[in-house]
Amino acid sequence: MVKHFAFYRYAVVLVLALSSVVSCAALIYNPAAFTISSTSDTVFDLAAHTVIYDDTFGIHSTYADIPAAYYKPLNGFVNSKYHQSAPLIPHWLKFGLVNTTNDTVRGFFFCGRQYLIALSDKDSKGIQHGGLGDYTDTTSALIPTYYLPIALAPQEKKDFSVAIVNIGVVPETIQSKLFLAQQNPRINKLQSPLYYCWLLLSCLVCGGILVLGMFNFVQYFTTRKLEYFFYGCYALAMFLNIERACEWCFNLRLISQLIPSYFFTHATALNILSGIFYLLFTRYYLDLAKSSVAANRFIQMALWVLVPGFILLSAILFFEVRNNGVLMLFKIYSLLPSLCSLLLAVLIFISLRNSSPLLFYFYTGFLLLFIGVSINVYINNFARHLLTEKLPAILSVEIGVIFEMVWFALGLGYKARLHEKEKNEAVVENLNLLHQNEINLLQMRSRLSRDLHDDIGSTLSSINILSRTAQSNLQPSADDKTKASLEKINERSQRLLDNMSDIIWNINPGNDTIEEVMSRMREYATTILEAKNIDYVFDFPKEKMDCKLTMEVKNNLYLIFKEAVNNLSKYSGATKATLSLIFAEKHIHLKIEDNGIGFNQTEIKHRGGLRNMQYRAEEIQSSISIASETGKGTQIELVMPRYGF
Amino acid sequence: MIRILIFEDNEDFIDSMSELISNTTGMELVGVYNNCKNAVKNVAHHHPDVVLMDIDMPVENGLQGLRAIRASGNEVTILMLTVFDDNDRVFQAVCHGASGYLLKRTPPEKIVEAIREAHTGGAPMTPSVAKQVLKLFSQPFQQSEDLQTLTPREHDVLSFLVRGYSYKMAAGEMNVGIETLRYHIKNIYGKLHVNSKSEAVAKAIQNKLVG
Repeated sequence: MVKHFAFYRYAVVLVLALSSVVSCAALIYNPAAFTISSTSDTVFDLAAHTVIYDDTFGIHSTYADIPAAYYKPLNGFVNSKYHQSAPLIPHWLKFGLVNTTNDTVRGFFFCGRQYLIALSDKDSKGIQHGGLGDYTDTTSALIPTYYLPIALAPQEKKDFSVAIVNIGVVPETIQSKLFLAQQNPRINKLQSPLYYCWLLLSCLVCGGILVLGMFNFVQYFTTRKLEYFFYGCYALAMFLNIERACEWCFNLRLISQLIPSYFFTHATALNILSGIFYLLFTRYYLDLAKSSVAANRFIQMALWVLVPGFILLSAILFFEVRNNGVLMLFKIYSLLPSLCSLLLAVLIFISLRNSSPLLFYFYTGFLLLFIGVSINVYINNFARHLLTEKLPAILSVEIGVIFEMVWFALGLGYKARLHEKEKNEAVVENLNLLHQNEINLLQMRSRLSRDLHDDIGSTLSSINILSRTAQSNLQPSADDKTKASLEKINERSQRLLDNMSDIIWNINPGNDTIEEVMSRMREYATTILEAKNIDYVFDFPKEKMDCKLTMEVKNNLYLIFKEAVNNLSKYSGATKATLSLIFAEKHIHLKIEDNGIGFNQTEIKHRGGLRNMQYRAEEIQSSISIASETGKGTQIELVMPRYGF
Repeated sequence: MIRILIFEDNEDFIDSMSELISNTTGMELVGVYNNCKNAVKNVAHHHPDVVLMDIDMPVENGLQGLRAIRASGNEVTILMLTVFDDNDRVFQAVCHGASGYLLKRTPPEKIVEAIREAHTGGAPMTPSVAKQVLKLFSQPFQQSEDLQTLTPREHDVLSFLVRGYSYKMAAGEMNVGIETLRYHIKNIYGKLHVNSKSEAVAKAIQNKLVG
């Protein structure tokens, strides 16, 4: 999760920067937003300043014989599709104008909202593409339109070849709609700072929503949760919606430059697409498949209407099919997504009555969009007078969308946290369970081994005691063999008891420090040497040695010591013993020395014990030296690596 | 004559012990029970000098029996029997009023010696139990509550025993006689008994904070 947030931060910074650059570039590219006004007070008086000297085909007539070469290179409305498909064949007008005044005349040609316009220049065999501007008439506030600026020097006579293409859905006969209008004087002024702020803000919002969408795709690829994917799709569709509104509002030409009917018919298709994604997002966000059968079924039904609708409208747009039926279809489909989301909200409200915070985010988002749409509908139908030059449109729908997007993002974040929490709790629970199991197992094992040893130990000590009492009960006259046998029973049962105790000591994880080993060495040696009345000196470190030993090292070290001390007490006949453990820089030296009879190394009988010590020393990568001479005592020294402690 | 009462469930061990005791002059076995169900009654009935009590027994174990006997106000010498001493139950028994403990692996002559010693008031202490005792006395609540604390000498004794020193060796290191050392250990036992009546200490023992 942390990684994603880091990515998110960088992405936001990136988009802030990009948005600022884009908005500045847009201003430079389109420094003044032209508005063409055809209202009576601003209309350029054509008759007063110019005369038509040539109207070969009539200003109201059309001709289509201008070769394709003239308009082919243009990146605007003219592309192969437009002059091949019948309804989009450009209508060409040819006429001449004379400026009768002694001033330069400037003006614009435009045809109305659903027409593209271009000016042909036969001499340079090029075409001047119409720009996008606003057009005011008496019925609506501001309508975007394409226009052509023209300029006539004093007394200049000029021929014009103008192409007009209908890009609307309804076929229309081009009537005398080629206006020659004066540039609205208010437009050439630099816009107010507020305008630029507003533009920058819009770019930022667009960029933000774009990043939001991208971020959710990334989230989807890591979490594989479909609500992220559909939220990303929804965000992208909404990005296009808001971007469109911005272009329209600020007279920018980005996507509208590439797709001429971007503001008109494509908007409906986009609207349906965002509706589809909205429904899918809601379905996965609220887990409707589990929580509400009715709402889930409704979404399925709605998708059956919307998806084919979207495909149908896309086909219509692609093949440029145009008639009144198509117009009707567009009108119906433009209403459907809103209707579906409204119905869905109602259904969810009825079927999901619990007060989950997820629902809270959903309703708040919905409500914000709903308010935005309502304001828009109200103003467009009942309060048109509110729209002025300074306030050409209230982007309430777009603002509603932005709030909705933010709210849904918060909801998704909440859901992710909820999931994380649930997952963490489950993990902790599992760990606890696992831990408990482990402890139980350990306890059981230790208990089993103890029980076993307890039982064996008790019986073994009973044998030990019995053999001793038997010995003392023996008649002095009893034969030596029986005595020896009893002695052996006694000794061996005692040894077994000691070994068992060693095993238990060795497997106890609390005993794996050198301190514990030294403690046990002392305990063993003192017990056994005191019983034999052998004087002993311990040279063990006085300060506390804090280091851990592995079970193997611990066991072997102790058993070598035990064997040596045992041999000393049994066979050496010594009266003094020195036991030392010295911690050198790299090695530990364990020395067991006595002043006993010593032994001839070649004649030694109890070889098993010595071999055993050798073997144990090798096991812990140590060397052992046994020095002894008859009558001169024995010195045993073990040199053990320090194993890092 | 030392009168001995045994609570033990291992028949073999009982068998051997009874033979050992009957072979030892000055000792008498007055009774044997397989569990501690009627421990208080049994002890009251036989008036033993020393009770040998196994820790692990079916029905009612040695710890329960020990507590019941001490709760009844009987201060008879009780030696706990166990195979191993690195068992927190040995320590619990010591805290709850056992006079000492006897490892079953001890050679027979040492068993007899230990019983005699216990009868005269001595108390054994092996390294692993000494370690637990030291830990208990160093618990933080030990200072905060009105509990008996160890004297520096007693602390020294325990430190030596933890490190595996024999009584003789420890006494030598401390420049005292072996009887003085035994006296210290007896006092430590006494303090454990008193302290274990405190709720905090009982809880610490129960929760195996030490051990």
